[in-house]
Amino acid sequence: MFAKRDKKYKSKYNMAGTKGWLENLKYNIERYMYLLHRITGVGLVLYLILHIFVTSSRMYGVEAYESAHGVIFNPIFDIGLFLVMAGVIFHGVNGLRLILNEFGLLLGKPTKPVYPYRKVLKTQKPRTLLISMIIIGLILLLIVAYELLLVWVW
Amino acid sequence: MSGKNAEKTIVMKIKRWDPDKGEFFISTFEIPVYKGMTVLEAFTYIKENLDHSLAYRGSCRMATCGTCGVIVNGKPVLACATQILHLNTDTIVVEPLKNLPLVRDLIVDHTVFFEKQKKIKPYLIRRNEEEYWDPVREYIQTPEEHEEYMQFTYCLTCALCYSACPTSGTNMNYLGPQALTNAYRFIADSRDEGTLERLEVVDSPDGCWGCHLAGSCSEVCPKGVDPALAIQLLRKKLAEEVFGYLEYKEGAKLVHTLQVAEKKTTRTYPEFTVKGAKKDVL
Repeated sequence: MFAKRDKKYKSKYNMAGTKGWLENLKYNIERYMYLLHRITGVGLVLYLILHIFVTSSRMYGVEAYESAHGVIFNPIFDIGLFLVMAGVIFHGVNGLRLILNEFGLLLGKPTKPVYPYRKVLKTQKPRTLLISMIIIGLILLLIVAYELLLVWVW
Repeated sequence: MSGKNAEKTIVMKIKRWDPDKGEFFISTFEIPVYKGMTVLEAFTYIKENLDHSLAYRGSCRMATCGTCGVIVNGKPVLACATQILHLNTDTIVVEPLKNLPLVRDLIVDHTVFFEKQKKIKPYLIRRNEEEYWDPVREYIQTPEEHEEYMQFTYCLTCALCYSACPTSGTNMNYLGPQALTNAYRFIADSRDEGTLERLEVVDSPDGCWGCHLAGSCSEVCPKGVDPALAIQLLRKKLAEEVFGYLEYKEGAKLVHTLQVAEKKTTRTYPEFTVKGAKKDVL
């Protein structure tokens, strides 16, 4: 009797799916980092395919390789390259932060749950790590921008 | 509602699950709100006055039982611990929790969630079977040892963290923040001897390696359990095990017989103050 009833009443897994990446964003900065880390990860894989496509033109001789480079040699592709480098820098720098934090380093010990509750990611050490990583990333990004501009200025 | 002055009227949109048709539909209600009114009380108001068919779940009304979890304005919260006036909006959107099977309206099925908790063996494991099944005395534990896992024992199993977790949203087999926190709670317990058994369960992409430190679980937890910290500490334990640093602790010993005996002999009873009371009554 109950089996019949169960079949009648449909049940649905209310999975958030990849749309769930965009939820609960505004409460902590780590969630934005998570989203960007995923997006840059996918973006870098797509870039890798393009990169292999361009460099593989060397198989068909020097001329083919140079003509492929001639197509790439324009400001639009440089903007793309800048975005790729921004992705690489973010993914690398944030990855370092994740490696440190995900092995329980710089997180401290559990405390008594006394109100207002402490959230360990919002304490001093992980926050300092995050901010210093953002600063390092911005410096690297400025260097990349400078290098890319040099090609077109001179 | 009588005797309480309504401060303002708010619009509550409830995203409800229809099990017969297998789809969501949205009901809109206008609710007079008084100072201190919670979302759960608003549900009760709707059920009593506006729509008797609304299905929701709630029990203790004081954030202790963990049954009334819903998503209010995009954030998983306990309905009983969320005051409507504190939300500072005129329109409130309520949805059932995510990543769990829906039953009806705002009710979700926690069975999957509890099955995952069972996987990590949420009980003390002792090597001495005889002593485990027939305990005569309590185990010794210092307050410092207790503090190592105390924070993680406050979990209500309300599944808010499970609903907020982005990994749970894409991986159905992922154990979830709650189960992993519970695993660490027992591994850090000085009385427990089942560290390796539990590490075996959580050492997989569906276990603690599925966490990507988004931190939402700690953000939504109504009891300050901080699952994000527990999962990272669990990984630390696993890394220690791989590199051979893990201290294989021996479970805490039982309280010594002599200590118990001494306590009994030194205990004093108050004098009899009632006239005619017999001493052999005790």
